[in-house]
Amino acid sequence: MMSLSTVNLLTNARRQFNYKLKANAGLFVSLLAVQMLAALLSANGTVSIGWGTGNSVAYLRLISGDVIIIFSLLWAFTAGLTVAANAQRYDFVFVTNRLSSNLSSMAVLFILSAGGGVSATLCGILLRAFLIITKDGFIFTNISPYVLLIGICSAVLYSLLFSAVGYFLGILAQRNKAYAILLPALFLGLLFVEARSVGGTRHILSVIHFFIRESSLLIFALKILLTVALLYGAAILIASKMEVRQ
Amino acid sequence: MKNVECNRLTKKYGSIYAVNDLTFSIPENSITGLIGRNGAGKTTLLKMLAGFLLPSGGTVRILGQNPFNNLQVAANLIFIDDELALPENMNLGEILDTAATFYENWQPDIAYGLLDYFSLDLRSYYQQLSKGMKSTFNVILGIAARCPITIFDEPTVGMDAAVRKDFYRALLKDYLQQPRTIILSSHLLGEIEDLLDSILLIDAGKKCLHLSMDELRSYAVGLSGNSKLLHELVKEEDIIFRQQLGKDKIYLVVRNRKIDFSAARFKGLEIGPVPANDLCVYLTAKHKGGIDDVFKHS
Amino acid sequence: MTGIFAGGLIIIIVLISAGHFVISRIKPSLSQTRIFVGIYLLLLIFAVAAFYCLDKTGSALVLENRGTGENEFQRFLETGRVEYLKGLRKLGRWSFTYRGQDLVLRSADKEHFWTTVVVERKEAGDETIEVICYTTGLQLPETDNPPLVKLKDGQLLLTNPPPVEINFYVAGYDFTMTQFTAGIDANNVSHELAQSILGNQIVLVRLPGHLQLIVDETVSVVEQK
Repeated sequence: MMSLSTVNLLTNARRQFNYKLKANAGLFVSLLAVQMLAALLSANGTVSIGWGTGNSVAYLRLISGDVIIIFSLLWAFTAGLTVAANAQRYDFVFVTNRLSSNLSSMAVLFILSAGGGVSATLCGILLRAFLIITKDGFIFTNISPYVLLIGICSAVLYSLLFSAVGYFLGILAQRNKAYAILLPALFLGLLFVEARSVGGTRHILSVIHFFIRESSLLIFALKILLTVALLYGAAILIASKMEVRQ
Repeated sequence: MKNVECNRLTKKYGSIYAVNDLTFSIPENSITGLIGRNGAGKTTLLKMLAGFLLPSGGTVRILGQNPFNNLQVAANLIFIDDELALPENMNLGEILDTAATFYENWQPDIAYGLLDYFSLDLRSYYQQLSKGMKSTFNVILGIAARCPITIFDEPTVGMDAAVRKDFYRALLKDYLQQPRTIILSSHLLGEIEDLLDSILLIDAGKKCLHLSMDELRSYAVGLSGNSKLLHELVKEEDIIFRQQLGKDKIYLVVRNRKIDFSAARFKGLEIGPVPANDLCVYLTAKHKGGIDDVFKHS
Repeated sequence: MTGIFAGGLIIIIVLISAGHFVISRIKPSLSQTRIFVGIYLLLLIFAVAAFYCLDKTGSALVLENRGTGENEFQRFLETGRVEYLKGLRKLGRWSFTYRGQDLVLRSADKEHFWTTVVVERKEAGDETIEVICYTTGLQLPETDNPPLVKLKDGQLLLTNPPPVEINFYVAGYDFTMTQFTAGIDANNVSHELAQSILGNQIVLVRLPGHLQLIVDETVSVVEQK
């Protein structure tokens, strides 16, 4: 009798994490490309304010990493979709079950989000440093290391949220392809209805305000982590009865 | 102990039965051939065994457990089909190293040895391999993993004859070193016949036969001679295959039971064994006369 | 507002789909990925180090000098008293001896002279015309750009300075930072800042008291008594 292997869920999830981090490593390169593109787009300033006297004009160009961060968040969303799609394909070649697959996907997305958030914020610093060196007429607002740290934390938290939403939708789309079309359509439809109704309840806006109007980083982190936990919990539930490789 | 057990296993897609009421069991440490025509339900059955698909009815037990969404079964089972979804950014060496982390019995020497023997470069990428080379790499994974349950679904697609022969030999060698439960599906029995302990023949999702190879070889006999004499000798329900050879001469494949061979020989009938591969083809044919039936009435 | 928001979201969705399409086609190998990521990380670390080591005193000076003389200028506008201008930065100063009885004040070319001209009378015996250009703008190479003043054939000719375009870059916070650091948002002060770069200019013309001044329509003049 051949001896049977027994495997612990977390041990296996850790092995899968190592494997999937490599299998999805291409996402880091696309992140890099996305951030470089966003930095190029931001290099002339995201907002410019002009003030003229006579025939002369002075422009104030605001430099921020906003575009870089927004692009990186969109990347995080597609990273969630990609990891969900790849999990369905790559995981079942080797040892896995649904829970192990989801846990390792979550861990991969945590690392990707952390990388995305940190690099997005630092890429903004890179942009500022580049402009200080290359351009004259620079009015500088210092970003203290403390503020930088706050920026990094909140960018990572936002990335976690976006990647979890992407992952959830990716799993849902595997359950039934119709969701992939239905949900964005529903979202857009609701948005248009809300845009046209004046003074009515605005669910989507209030969901967005729930996050962007939170000024305490700690409560913001709790809100994000709770939402992310709900999304992953739902993804695990949806996935547990799903078949593989149809 | 039975390593693989199916009881009234059914898989339905809409109103079509891909697998229909299958009951069988496979003992540990044996090589079983799953034989059936294209579309007979082989892949669906194997995916249910591997826990990828949920049965619509009946039960599967692998190592005594339900394989669906089961990590313990997954750790002891490897499913190899003709195209594995492997990451495009990892080269063959990196994939082998990854596989090594998942399977406790992984044999790196065998994996690298086979890779070298079949001239596969560690630095090449799976998606860039030809069909046959992909299949070769897949079976290397399957052999080196040394899982207690090893399932190959049509593993030799695209391989040339020499590689197929080498694969069967490698599989047998490794099996002898480390016996385990191997299921090998194919639409043709011919090449794998010598490798198998038993065969499971399915047709249209249903079980046709599940016999050891010895039983299969004596399952039926081929008789040829005068058609009238032959029909007197054998019962109609035992006839598996019928072929008209001449005006009065006929060839019949019949179940090997209660046939009076001495009487047959006395009457000048020829008696011979039926090749296992042919028998499988005859058993899964829609018409007892094979392709000839189509032209019978024209 | 919400319409713009919805439009923005549609653009975002299009961006996501296009981006996803491109991203799913980028398939670098593991070793290539390691090289790319390694170089990028080094670049980022280097940039952060550079950012905190760079000399930023110049920009601090710019911020400090902002709005110099703005109060005096406002007081001059309110009261019309020329002495308030004395403290402002002088962009240029011209002085001519002139014995004629009348003087034409006009723009040298057909173009309107942009800067407001203030005329101040001196006592009768003085035979010099003084022209001083004041500014409240920042002292920068680009803003050291006075108009051209000439006296020719009984005409005081004013020429607009060559046009200047100045670009200032303000490094604000990212929205991820402003959300949690209310009150120190650099983005809000920019309008005032933009105004103060060029500031306000005025040309003071001090004329002998007896001189008859004929002002051409190309120049706007405020006469002081």
